[in-house]
Amino acid sequence: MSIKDLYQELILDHGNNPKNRGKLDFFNKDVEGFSPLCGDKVHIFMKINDENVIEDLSFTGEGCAICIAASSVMTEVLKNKSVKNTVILADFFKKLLSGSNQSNSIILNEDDKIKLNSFSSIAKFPMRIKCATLPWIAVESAIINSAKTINIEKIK
Amino acid sequence: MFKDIKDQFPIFKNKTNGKDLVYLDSANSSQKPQSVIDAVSNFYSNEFANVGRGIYSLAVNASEKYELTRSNLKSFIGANDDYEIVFTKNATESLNLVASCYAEKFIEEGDEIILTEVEHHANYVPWHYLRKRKGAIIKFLPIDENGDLKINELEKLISKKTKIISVTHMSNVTGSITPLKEIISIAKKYKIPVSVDGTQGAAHLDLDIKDLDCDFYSFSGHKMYGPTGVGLLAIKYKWLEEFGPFIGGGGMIDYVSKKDIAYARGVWKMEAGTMPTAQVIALNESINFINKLGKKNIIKHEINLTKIALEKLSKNNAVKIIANPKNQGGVFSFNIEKIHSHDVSTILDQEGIAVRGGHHCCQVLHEVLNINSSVRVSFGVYNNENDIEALCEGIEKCQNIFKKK
Repeated sequence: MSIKDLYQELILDHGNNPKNRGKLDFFNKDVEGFSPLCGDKVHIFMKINDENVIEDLSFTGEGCAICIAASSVMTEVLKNKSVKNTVILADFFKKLLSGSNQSNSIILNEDDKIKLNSFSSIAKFPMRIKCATLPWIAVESAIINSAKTINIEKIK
Repeated sequence: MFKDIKDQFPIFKNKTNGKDLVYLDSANSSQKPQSVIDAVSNFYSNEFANVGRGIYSLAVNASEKYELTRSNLKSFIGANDDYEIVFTKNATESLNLVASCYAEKFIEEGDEIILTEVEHHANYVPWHYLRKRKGAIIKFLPIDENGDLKINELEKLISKKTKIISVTHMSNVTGSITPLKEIISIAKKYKIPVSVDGTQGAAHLDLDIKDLDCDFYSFSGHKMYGPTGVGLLAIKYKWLEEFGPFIGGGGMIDYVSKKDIAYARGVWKMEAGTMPTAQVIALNESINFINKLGKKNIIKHEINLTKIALEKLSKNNAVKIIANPKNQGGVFSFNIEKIHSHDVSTILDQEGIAVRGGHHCCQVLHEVLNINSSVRVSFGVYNNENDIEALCEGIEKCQNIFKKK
């Protein structure tokens, strides 16, 4: 395992020039996720329409390249996904980073699959898994439990 | 300066991520020399008994060795008979003991406690409890643009309500050494006791406690090449007499009846239950280790390494050192432009370099400096110029990985 596997081009690109960064003008769900141990924090804004589809989403926050890249990629992947599929994708991403095998998810198109898979090497760096799962767990908690803030250290 | 010293530390025989270990995190905890490791093992193998209870030979010998560490520690910090040493589990517990026992008797609603902006959470959170529990007020002595404490503002913070001042001996982030004598002499004018968080000082800075004349000095064994699990509190005896006990249990009592309990006096009042016996006894070896090298030599060595490192890093424009203290020990922190401290730590780790990334338990300081986190480098006796070379190369590697294509 080389350090280049962790810092893949896509992660560096999104880490340096994140997409969808900033606060949405209109949103009807938002959640803050933070990691007290390392100081990473992200705030995610979602516009969910009547069909329960995330029409738009964005994020603000500070953190390491992995956290920012994960947030950026997540906002790209989740755009126009249903709330139901968002939860499935969050679960897929968590399992991907825990290194467990899983069947190919039907809701993932090839482009999304490539993007998410570039995070798979993080599984080999246990101290950094939470950096990448932070935005996903925040969104998942906002949808399932209507959480407004989550502390990643308190989530199993 | 300390030629072949790494040979005394077995950890350096192992590879970390396939590389020689470059350990630059001694402010967090120091590595252990073989003599300390052997002392722990020898005590368990050949001499183990609990202290202060049995009257059989093993127990008596263990108790004697335990007390030998106490008396050697007193000489180590330059304590006279005004001081005692209380064993705790770590410096954090020592600081909690001071805050809790002092407050129990002397702090009331509206009373003021003076801390500084550079304090480790261990010297803030216990006082915050008093803010919540007793309605005390905490004031922070600010830092200047170099990261040094603004000592000339201390008197402005002092009022009739000021009950205690608690400061660190050295910032664990910037390496700025606190002018303790100045602070203590100001405090004396107003008869305010001073508690010192000595975790960064005890093994790395000049320490003559009778000359300092502080009331409390908290430090830990594991940061002075000793075992984890043992903390120390040097305390003026008069406070031991004034204070009630910290935690209750066996060993800290004179007699117990159904009606009432009388507490033991002196240090015994503060050492309830089975203490970290093997650790305390092995700590004696870390005192020997430091004494053999000589504190003056250690200080010179670590300050010299800091100077060399800062000089080398100043040639890299992307590296921003977060403070520029006038009087600096073997610690400094930095950021590399546009690279987060945790990314730096991970990349350096792959090169075998152990540094700390994050806020180093000093969120207030990072807020004051207006940065989210930093990378910290801290030296111990085993570091040398090769380590600095490795660090500089590691930093370049970080820059290469993050270089825009």
